Amino acid sequence: MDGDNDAYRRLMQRYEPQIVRLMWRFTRDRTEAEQLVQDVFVEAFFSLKSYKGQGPFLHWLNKIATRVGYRFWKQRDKAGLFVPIDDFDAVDESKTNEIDSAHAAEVLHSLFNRLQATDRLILTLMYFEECSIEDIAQRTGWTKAGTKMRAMRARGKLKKLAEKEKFSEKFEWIK
Amino acid sequence: MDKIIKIIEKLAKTARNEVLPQFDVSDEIMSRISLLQREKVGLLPLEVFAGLTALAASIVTFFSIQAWQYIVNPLFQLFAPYQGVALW
Repeated sequence: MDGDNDAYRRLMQRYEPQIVRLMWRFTRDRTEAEQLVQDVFVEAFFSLKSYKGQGPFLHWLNKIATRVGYRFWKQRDKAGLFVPIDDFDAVDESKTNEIDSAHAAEVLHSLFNRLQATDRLILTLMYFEECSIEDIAQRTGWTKAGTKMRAMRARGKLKKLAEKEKFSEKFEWIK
Repeated sequence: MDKIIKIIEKLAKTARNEVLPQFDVSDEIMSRISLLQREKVGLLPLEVFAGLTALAASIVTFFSIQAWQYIVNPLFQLFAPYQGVALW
């Protein structure tokens, strides 16, 4: 594979949808998401030597993607660039007793964005990617016990935040 | 289970069905990779030159430390007694 750009292009086309999906969880801005996908595949190309072939290639790629996304959040937080918080009240006005999947994602994304990058990462992987504690630990390189503890804290913070936003009142019609 | 957590889980379940944007960035990735590869090749002679410079500098330092021990401080020379030798 060394130096075989065509082979890498084929590999990229195979895994691009999965990586696009994951990076969309880190930003809902199309341009930023495109940039992140590019970063993941460029970083993966130059780290190919570290891939031992012991596990599926996608797992290894997901690890890189998680690291790239987390780094993006950290840099954004450091720069003080905050994503505008969505007005949750807009959901009440629809009164259709149904929530569109894109809107649900938007609401959760806005809610998670108010938390610290570490908590946000755990919750994103838990809720959007349906990762278990073991999966999160594997992707982040944290210990299983540490991840479990972090997940518990993150959920606690999320609950507090949702209570503050009166989530149960606003979304009680969700069945 | 907690009501709020239940709501969040239901929202997440709905959110997972979201239709994601489709984009193909493989061309951009390949051009970035080839650009970085070229930069890497261009950096190699510079790295070799830097290595040789560091080696030369360490050799000079090694000899200058030894020479340093024989240098006499001119300030001490001011107060040192005059060691004249009687010629006759």
